[in-house]
Amino acid sequence: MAQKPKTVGTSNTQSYLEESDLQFLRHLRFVPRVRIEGAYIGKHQSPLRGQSQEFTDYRDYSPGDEIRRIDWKVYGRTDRHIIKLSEQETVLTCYLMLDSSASMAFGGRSYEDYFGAEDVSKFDYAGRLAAALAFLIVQQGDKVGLTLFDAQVRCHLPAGGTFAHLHRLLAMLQSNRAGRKTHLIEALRQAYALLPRRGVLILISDLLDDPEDLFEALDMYRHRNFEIILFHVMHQHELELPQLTSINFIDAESGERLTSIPADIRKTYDQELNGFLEQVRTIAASRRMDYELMSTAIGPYAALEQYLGRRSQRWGC
Amino acid sequence: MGLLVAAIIFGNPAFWLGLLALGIPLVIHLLTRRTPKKMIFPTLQFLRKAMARKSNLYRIRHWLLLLLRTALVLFVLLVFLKPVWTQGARRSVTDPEAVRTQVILLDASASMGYASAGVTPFAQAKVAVGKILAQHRPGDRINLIRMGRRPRSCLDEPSDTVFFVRKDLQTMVLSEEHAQINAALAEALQQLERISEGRKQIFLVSDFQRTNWSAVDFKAVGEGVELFFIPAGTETTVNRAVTDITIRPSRPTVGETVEIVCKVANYGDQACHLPLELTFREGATFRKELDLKPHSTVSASFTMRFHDSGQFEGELSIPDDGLAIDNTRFLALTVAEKVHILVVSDAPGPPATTGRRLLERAINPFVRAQQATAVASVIPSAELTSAALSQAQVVMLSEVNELSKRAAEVLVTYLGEGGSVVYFHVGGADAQNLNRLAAVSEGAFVLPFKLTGQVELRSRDRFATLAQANFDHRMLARFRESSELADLRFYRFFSTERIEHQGQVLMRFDDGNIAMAETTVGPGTLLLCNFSCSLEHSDLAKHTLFVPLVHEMIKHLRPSAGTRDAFVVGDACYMTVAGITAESELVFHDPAGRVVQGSADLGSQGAACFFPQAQTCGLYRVLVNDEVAGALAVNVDPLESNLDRLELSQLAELARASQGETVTVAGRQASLEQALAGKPLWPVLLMIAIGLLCTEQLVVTACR
Repeated sequence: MAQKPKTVGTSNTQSYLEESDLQFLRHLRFVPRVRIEGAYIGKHQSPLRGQSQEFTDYRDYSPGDEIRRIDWKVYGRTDRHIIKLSEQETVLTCYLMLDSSASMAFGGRSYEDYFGAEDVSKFDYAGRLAAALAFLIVQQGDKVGLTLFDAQVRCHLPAGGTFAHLHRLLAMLQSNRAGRKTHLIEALRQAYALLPRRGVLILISDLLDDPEDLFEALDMYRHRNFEIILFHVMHQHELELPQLTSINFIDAESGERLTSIPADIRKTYDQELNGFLEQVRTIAASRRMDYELMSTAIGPYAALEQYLGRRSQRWGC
Repeated sequence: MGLLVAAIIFGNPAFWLGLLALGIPLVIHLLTRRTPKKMIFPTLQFLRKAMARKSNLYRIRHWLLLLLRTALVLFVLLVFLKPVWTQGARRSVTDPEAVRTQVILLDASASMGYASAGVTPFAQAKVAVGKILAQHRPGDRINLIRMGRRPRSCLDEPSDTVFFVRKDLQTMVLSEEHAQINAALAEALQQLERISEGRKQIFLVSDFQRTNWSAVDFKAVGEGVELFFIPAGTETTVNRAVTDITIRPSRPTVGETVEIVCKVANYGDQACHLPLELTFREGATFRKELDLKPHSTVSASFTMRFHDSGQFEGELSIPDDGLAIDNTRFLALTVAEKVHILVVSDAPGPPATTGRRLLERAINPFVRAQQATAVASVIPSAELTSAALSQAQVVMLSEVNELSKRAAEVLVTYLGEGGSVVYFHVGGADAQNLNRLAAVSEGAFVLPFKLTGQVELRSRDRFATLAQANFDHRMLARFRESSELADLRFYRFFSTERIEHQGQVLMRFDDGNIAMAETTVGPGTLLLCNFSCSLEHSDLAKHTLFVPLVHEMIKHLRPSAGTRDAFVVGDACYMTVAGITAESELVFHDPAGRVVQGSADLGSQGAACFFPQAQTCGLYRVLVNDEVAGALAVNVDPLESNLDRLELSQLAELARASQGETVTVAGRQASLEQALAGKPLWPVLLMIAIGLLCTEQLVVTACR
């Protein structure tokens, strides 16, 4: 008899961050690779000229500039009012955008009969990943925000840098449920107005949308010099069709049905999927976005550690 | 041709079980296509594209696999049902159990005695016939016809009692005859014509010699008659044979050079070297070595003289091979003291000026008979019989009355058998006689000229002379330098009108009328002399030319080769024995020395002795008072020596002329059983099943 999956979209009730997880995450560090705008002084480079010890340039005084910033030593030698510019260091503002659409609910306990009890859904995987990232960022004194969306932005938590904020963020993740439809592009457009400063945008999603449209939406953020990181979360049985005899596949969002023997179409499915992944990877690379394909077969913390290691090597940050 | 599958399937209880088995693949198919598990799946777009990329074959693969698996089980089922394919029986599909009327034609000709590894085709043929008899079902009618010179039927008509046929088969022996296939086939068809119901089958069991079967006419085979060709014997044969003997002259005289020419044939694929031996019963033996190329015939001749007259018997032989019957050929040779010329004349004996007397003297001009090379015997036309003609080497007609129809027929028959006749005609009944000869010959004899009237030149000053002569002709060549021909005077003859393209004109009178012409009647020669030897009609007899001219005629017309009296096994043989009177006690012996029933027709010169139908090769003798008075040789028909056989496809092509249904059967016993009981189809079906299994696997692999 066919096993009817459990309620789609329900989240795992377990805590996203356990004590053991925190021990693992403490030694990780997330560094942005672009200058970020921040209102507070921190340890990250800012595009704004500030009052740090790092000299950057000189410029002529213009009305409105603070008089205290005039370099009087230069005035004594040259009789000109010159302003000394120095680099401003600020805190990192990271915006987590978490896809909570129905397609993210694939796997986990609802599919226990197919994949076993140890299987993790994409939704939970993405949630743990988001929680881990949030912890990392807050722990290093930076700010993190969270936006949950499916067809549109469902919930938004502005960036904050305290552990109290982190608790709120985790509570928000805990109470999150998978929605019905996905409209990634619309959600990105809505979220655009909610992000006041440029920073790092981390999109955690299965990216099941048109890649061209998706990157067109992301280009808005890129033009504001956001660093964009794409965590492409895919279930291991999406990447490799399950070893079942015959399945009546039901589309998670449209309800469309398709009956097939996975073994019969495995090869062509792999070709189609890999084509899609390659397309996303190629476009992301052309826009200098970090793209990381994450399979639920590898735990989210391990995957995150691997990513951060590669990021450090790649960008030197 | 039809398939007996339907009848066998429904007659077999296993069919119903098998029918159930046909559902197995359907069940398997349905089980394998059990209700699929439902799964909510996010990347359905890729699944959809993946399925769209699959071929049409992929889409219908389930139905295709169901079809293949069902067919697979069906063929496996058919394998176990052992269906058979019956050849040539269209109606067998609708009525395979119909009553059969079978006529078996068994070739018992001499060629069937070819022994290969100790087994003859005749023995194989008998086994094959036994197989056919073993298939006999109650209600079937059957008959056996032995194909020889004349067809010999076991029963008057096909009977449902197979016992007599089986007994006849057991006792049947090989003959040395040449089989008349057409006659046997006609006999079989005649017997089948009387049957109105059921299937009609003719089984032809033979070695299918090309020389014999290529002339068989199958057109008479009617619709609904099934022909079964069952070859017997081996495909490759090697046979050498003495195929012909010719004696030149056919009736030699004492001291005359005689040439015995024989032909030896090699019907094998290999060249060979053969010793040829001519042995006379009197003890003389002649030997020659022959080299024969493959599929060739060579001639060899033996030259000799006979110093005594009488009957000489001999045989020509080569070493034995597979077919022994044609390795020896018998000959019987009568050496006469003189060349016997028969003069048929109704003229009275005296006076000496008649043509008859002058002709008689010209034939034997010597006073003492011992010196003569030819002797003449004179009979009136009323005594003209075949017996009287049998001893004559040349027949001369002069001054004859009107011939009876019987006499004319005897003459034409004599000519048709290679005899020679000289007809001196000048008037009287001669015109009617010539026309009668032409009439009874039924077209075989056409006069080279038309007789338009009588020419009478009674005055001493009026006569006709010869103006033209064909000296290129062998008979007249000797007279090329002689002027005497032109001195001959002719007083009475027919005026003639030449018929173009008929015969050959040898001499013409000075008035243009034809004086001598020659025409052929079959192998015989008729010399027409438009003059007479009588002094009333010409002065031919007064000239020294007369005697040589008559002897040149004899020499030219005398049979040069033995074309007559060449008998083969199965012939009703006859011979003429001289010196037999009504008181003579005649005994007829066959080659084995057994007394056979013969008959004799007494004539003035001797008796025509008739043997019953010759059963074996050898020398048939007539004994008069325990002395051999005459012998004749009977040999196997040379057509039996060439063992090349027709291919089954060629036979089928020949039989296609018939309206019946043709079945070709291979010579193997298994094939014969297949023809009778049907060819098992299970190997073919098994192969198809294996092919289906492979196809199924290919489809499964391709659709992955």
